[in-house]
Amino acid sequence: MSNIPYLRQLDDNSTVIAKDLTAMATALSTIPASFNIYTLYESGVIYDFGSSNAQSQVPYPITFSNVVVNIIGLGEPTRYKSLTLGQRSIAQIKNANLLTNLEDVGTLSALILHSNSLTAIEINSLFAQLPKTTKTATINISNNSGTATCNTSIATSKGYTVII
Amino acid sequence: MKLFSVAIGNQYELESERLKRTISNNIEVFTKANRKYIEISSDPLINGLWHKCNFANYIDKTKEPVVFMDADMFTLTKNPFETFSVKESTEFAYVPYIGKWYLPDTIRQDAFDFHGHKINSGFMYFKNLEIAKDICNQWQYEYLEREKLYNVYKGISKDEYDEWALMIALMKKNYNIELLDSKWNNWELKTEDEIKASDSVFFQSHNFLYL
Repeated sequence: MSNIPYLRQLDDNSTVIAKDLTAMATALSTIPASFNIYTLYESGVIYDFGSSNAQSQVPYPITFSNVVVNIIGLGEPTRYKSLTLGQRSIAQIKNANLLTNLEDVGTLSALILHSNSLTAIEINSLFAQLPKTTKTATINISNNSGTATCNTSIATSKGYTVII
Repeated sequence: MKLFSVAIGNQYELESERLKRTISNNIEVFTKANRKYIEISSDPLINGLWHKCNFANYIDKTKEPVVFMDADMFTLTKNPFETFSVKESTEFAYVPYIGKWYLPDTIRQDAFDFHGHKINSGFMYFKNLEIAKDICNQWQYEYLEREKLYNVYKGISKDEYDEWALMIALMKKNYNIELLDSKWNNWELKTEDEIKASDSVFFQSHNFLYL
């Protein structure tokens, strides 16, 4: 695991994804100075496939037990197969176009965003950001405020399966 | 009740040993050592899942209802089937997945819309062996035909082939189906604490082999 903050959660409940530290700095430069920047914390489970060793095909959880961590390295988002960000307060996902390697791992959905605070507008924005896929990639967006009214066809037309 | 599982490959065989122990050895497990075993595919996962689809054809005879369980299931309940029951009219029963699915291809979408849910094939009840064989015969056929059936421009996860094939197979049958409570296959719990605190009867996990 690197210690480069490629994925950061902000205090406006948005999450920023960046391909490297420079890109992250650029992304954060657009954020008002009054905002605090947090990393993911509190019993979160992240599945990271950034490693190039043989274990990279096996999801391994990194669990944080109610500890706020200032910097968490999460590998390179373009190499993520699966990303679990369920049961948080995330209201916006930025730069999801960097999730170019999403793919279900067994029965584990590629992108798990259930039980967050995403509106239909933000879910549709996420779908619009995601690149087309030729892999089997499922997005679970159940139990968000915009779940019932989002436009799933934006994602299915790109090859994704969506669970609401 | 005739209990049956399929374990093709070392890990599944190991997990099926855990299943046997937790339900007091009252289960028959089909493995590569069985005289009826054939290699249907050089891909281990495809090969193993086909044998799962075809499982009822490995049961010689029984007059009892048949219950299929995935090899990676286990229970922490002493007499797990003590409270199991279905309606008298039920011919086939399973635990459905939660949620509405939107898919990139029409065939699987039609299958989902037909059933109203995705089927989890980890724990299934069949009223008798005849019904089990009838469903399995169609199931294994649809499984072998999967590449033709799914009109997508891309591959489909091998892990999911069997469940979509089962859903398509059941569209061509007319059985009385009952949906079971998730306690009969709580596949969502992952941590040891969650599982131990749960009231569910059966769990499904590749972890906790020491249990």
